[in-house]
Amino acid sequence: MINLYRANMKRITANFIFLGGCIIAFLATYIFTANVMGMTGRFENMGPDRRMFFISIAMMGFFTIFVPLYTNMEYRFGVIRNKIVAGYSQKQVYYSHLLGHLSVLAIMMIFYLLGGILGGARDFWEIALLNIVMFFALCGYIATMMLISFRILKIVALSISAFLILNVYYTGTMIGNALLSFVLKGAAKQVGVIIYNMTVFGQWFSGTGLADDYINPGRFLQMVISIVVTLAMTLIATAGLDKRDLK
Amino acid sequence: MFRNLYADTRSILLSRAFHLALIIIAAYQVFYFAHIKVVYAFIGVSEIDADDIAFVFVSVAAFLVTAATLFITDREFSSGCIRNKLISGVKRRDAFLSAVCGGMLQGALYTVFACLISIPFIGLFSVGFINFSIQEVADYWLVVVMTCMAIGAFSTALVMILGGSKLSYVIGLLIAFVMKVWDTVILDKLYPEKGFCKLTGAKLAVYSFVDKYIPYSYLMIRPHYEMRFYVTGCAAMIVISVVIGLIVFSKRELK
Amino acid sequence: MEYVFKSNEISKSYGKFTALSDVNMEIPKGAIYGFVGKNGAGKTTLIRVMTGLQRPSSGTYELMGKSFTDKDISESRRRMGAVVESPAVYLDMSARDNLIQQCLMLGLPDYNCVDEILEMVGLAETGKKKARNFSLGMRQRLGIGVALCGSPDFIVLDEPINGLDPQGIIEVRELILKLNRERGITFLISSHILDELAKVATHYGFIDKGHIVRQMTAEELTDECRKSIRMKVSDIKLLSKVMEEKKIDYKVVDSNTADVYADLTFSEVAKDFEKVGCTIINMQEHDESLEAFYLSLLGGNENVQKSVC
Repeated sequence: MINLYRANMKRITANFIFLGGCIIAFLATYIFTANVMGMTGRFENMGPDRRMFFISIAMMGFFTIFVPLYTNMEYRFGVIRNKIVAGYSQKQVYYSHLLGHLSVLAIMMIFYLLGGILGGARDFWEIALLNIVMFFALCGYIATMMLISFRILKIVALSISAFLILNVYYTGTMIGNALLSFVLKGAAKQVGVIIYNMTVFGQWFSGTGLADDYINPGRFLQMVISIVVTLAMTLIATAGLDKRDLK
Repeated sequence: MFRNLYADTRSILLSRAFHLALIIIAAYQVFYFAHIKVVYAFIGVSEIDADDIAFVFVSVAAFLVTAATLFITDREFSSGCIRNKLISGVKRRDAFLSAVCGGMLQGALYTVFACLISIPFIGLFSVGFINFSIQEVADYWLVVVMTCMAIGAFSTALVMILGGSKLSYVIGLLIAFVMKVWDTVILDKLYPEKGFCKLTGAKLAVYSFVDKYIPYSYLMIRPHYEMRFYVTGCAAMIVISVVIGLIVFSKRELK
Repeated sequence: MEYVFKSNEISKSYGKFTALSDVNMEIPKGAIYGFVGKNGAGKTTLIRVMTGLQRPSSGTYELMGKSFTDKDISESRRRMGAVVESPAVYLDMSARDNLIQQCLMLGLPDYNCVDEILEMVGLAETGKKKARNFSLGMRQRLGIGVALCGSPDFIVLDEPINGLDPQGIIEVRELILKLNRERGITFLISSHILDELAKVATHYGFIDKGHIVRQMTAEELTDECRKSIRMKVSDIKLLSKVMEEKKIDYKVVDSNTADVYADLTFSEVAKDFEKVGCTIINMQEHDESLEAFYLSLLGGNENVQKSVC
């Protein structure tokens, strides 16, 4: 599988969408962190560290586009057949892609961190902690995108599903804010907080400083939730995958 | 042109994606109603206002119309049927206009269906409208119909322009999502919960322009301008989509 | 005899539809196995099962001595290359990059074979041109090139000459023969172009409605394909009369031609025809083609293509 992963990484790192994404990650983070556009009010008051974290949500949008489009090439071009014929299993192909995308995330975050530090973010511990949480949250999101990418073979249906998930996460977070503020109490609220933090939006929102404190169950717990989400999505994606017939 | 229009319309109405979209609209109405019921039970409110369950479709309209038109219009390119049309003598202008009309028809039909689906829920499970008069309800649905037609036209034009390209799969959906998020920010700035709008100058002008003339923003809040602004915004979006689309599609090389 | 592929009662069903039914097939090592059947007979289904893309509903098979359920079947698969249905290539990469990608995926230590393979399949001059700008024939060649990466011992080609021009067909044929002769690579080639298959195949498998109808070597096929003498005469009715009197098997081809299935001596035949007043215009030896054999074996003449050569 190492060979599959290496072959994958060679392709990904030459992909223009990935390269463009890294450049945009650097530039957008720098511009936002340094407040080059002269934003006022809430954004000005955030400070560079929080502004840097605020813009990190854009990576979620990037992976919503990149993961399905890139992974679906296996089926669009039919190249998954070459890998199966060579003796790899569908699970191995899946894992190689998942690891590839997680590596892409790590590389992109390096560009993002570089842009943020050059833009003026200075609180090392706050940056480190928030961005490690964000990294795990995005791992969970990538695992979710990989689940649909390996199960939905038609590119149009896949794109629609990817954006549907994005919309559901966003709307769910907005509804979750209202429910947690006004409706849920006691144990229900605790459960609500856990569910709220299962999404990238939820964890990101709690890290921006715009949300109430009760939304944050603790950074360690957020990481655990993200890991659980990642594992669950991976398990669902790979269940019965090797038994699936390919054309 | 009309023969082509009839053929495209027939193809849309018979397609599985169209029927699936209608089922999703109905299912979402049911799901949303159930969700409201649960939430109201939590907060100890027994009576549901029609205001809360009548316009459920509006919150998902942009995404649903964009997704449905993408799915149905992309078939032309993925199956290669657009080539058959052009080879058999249909002019590019006619093929494009017919597709855009199909997109607008879809937008209108989904909205009308959503309106019809909401009526039994309003009648059976709510105590009626509290903050809407009948005139206002009618205006709201009219605005939504026009908006969905405009979004249907825009989304279809986008697919026809980019057809076959990877971009066509994501750009319409991305625009719908970005506009939704941006409109939330715009509305928060223009109509803050507490106090007055503090925007001035260019930012106020831009935000006001979006609120008045960009159809995506019509789906974020109930109508609060005169009808002429909504008609202008929707008409402008349709006209711009058609004009640019015709220019690009006429010159586009198809594979 | 050593076999690279051996199946035992393989069946494959999709819901209620049975695509393969109790297929027993053996591909000897070093053979060029011509796989022949109508559209929808089950050729591609069997190839998909063989290459691991799909699992059989029942039955077993061995690939290079290993059962498909063995944990280390992947080692056997590493020694296999295939082009199934349509060439599987990255359209956003050049020919060279596609081959490098395949080499990487196979874990080859270097890319030394890439230039040689590009030369072999006639794509050495494509440079940086992306595969999406290739013609169908070029993509087909690239697919074959990808299958050749890693020096496989067994190559499966599903209709490899689809989309190729006559020159390309000759080149692919020469390539297959060369690789088989020089490197001992076993080939399984499924094709509709029977005359083309006849030029390369050493073994044949005929499939119809999911069953293997017949397996045979090229020699056995030659023996079975009946020799005849094609006679062109002035009056076909008189020919029929003579043949019936002599109790010789014959078949009328057209209004003045017939195939006679017997060893005839020209002088005797000439005398018999002279007696009845019939003139022999032309006589020549004629072998029953693979096409005719196929028709007699599987019935019907749909989906059989004449050779493009």
